[in-house]
Amino acid sequence: MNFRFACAPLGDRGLIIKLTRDDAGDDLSTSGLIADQIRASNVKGVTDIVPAFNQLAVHYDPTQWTSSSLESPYEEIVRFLNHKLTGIEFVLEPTDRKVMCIPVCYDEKVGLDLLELSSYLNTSTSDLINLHQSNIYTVGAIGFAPGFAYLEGLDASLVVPRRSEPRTRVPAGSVAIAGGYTGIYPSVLPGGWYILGRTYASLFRTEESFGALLRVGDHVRFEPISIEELDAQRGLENKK
Amino acid sequence: MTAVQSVLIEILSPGLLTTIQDKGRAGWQHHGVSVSGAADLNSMQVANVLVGNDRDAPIIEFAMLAPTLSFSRDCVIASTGANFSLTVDDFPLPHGRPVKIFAGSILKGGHSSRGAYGYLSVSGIICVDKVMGSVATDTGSHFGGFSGRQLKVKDTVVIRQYSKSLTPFQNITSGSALPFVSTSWGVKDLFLAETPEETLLRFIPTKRWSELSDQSRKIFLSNAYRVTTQSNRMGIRLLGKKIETEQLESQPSEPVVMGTIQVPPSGQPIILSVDRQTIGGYPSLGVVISTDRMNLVQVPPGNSFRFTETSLADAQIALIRENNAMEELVRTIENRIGELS
Repeated sequence: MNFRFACAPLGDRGLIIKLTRDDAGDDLSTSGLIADQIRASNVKGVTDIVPAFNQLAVHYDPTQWTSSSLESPYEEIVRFLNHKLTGIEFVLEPTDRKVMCIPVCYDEKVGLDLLELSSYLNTSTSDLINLHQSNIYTVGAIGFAPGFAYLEGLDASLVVPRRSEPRTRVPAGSVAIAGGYTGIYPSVLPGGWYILGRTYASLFRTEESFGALLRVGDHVRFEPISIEELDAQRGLENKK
Repeated sequence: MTAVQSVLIEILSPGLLTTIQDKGRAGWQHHGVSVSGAADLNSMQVANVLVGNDRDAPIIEFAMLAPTLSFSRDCVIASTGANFSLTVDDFPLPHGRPVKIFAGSILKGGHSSRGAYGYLSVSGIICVDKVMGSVATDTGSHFGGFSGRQLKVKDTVVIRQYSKSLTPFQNITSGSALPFVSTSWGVKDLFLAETPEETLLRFIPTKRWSELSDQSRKIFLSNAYRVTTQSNRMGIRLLGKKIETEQLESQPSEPVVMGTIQVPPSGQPIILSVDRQTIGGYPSLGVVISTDRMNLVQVPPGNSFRFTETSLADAQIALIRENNAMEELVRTIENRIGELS
């Protein structure tokens, strides 16, 4: 896999690495894989590496990249990263990204917008559900809230705008679509996406061994479950 | 180091946005977790060093209105940042100095005369659990700090004091007419020596800035933008002449930083602050330089900003210079504290 990258400043304590592939199409796993590679090399002064779609941000402390030369800290770290990324070019194979299976209940009791959306799209709710749960998605970015994943790979017929009236409280675990993405609300949040179902999976925990369940570049498959199973599993989660 | 005693601080009135902060939660942004931490990091560090704490120790931050607190034991405190005209048992507390107060003292807060954020350090360590490596309160996601929230009336904050906490000040005992004892020296205000109606912020332009029309760029550079009361730890919301961004192509969300200047469809800029999200979808015109962070967070609602472009190279020179000046200040304070014992 070949890709080209270009660095640009993101203020005076960060930089953006933009990725483009030499061959056709974007591979959404790449930014996540490169982020992992840079993270593994413990670059001095780097606090955060944040992949999002086909770019990633490197947050760094410029005071650790000063030298006697006339170069700025930005120029110093960019030169270092260029060297590093050129070196790892050939090891980037997106084959080892895991496929996460997320159980989703598409019952109308929790798929709060199934009816509204099926009439909007002029299709049946069962077709809607089939279209949503038959694809394999890729995590393009994590953001908006801790653990919230923007999943790409939505069927073209499900590309819809946000709801005109956003909800102030979307239930935790809601699986929703809008703007060409599908996503899962990790906690109770305000939101304007159309809710198709709900999962009992824990998308984010503050324990250091956990954090966000999904990482940029991971693949996701939705596994339909019944409302009884959702309730039973949520009961178990609550007892933990 | 063994704990000698605990100081209990009871919240008698909570002030506004009173939270526990430290230098922030680094290393978790790829999980979607904000950095958080003290809005004005320099003032936080100076306050900590003044009471003999580690410069990044947990601290109490408040905005626009200071809390009223009672202290169960003798301790050393310092207030920095915006001046809230704090009093101890109704006597004005010197700002920017280590002050030994005594058991039963009541620290009362007022409104700030200038500046938005105040800091109160207490000798010892504030006992709250670290979440993902930091005690900073994330007001957007509700974790960290004191149960993930602002302090409320009747909350009790526990400060663990170690043998070293009071050492530099142990020889200072009450004796004056005042209900506290302070040093004869202090740190002068780090910012806003006067209260200008308008504060200049330097920013490093992004690629989006160059895609903007000449007209839009000119509007942004030649008008003042007022800080509104909708501002908080997530973002500083501005009001001024509308910036048209319609000519910009929409693009997916991209990583953002503290100081990112976003323009939503309303055309009114929002500057992202400490509890900002990790990625953002609105067009970003530029990033306010780190050296202007104190002005960015401390200018209170009602006052205005003007903006000027600067180069990355100049911004990083300024940042390194400021960092050296802070190191020097911290060393000077540490030496003066050392002389007390």
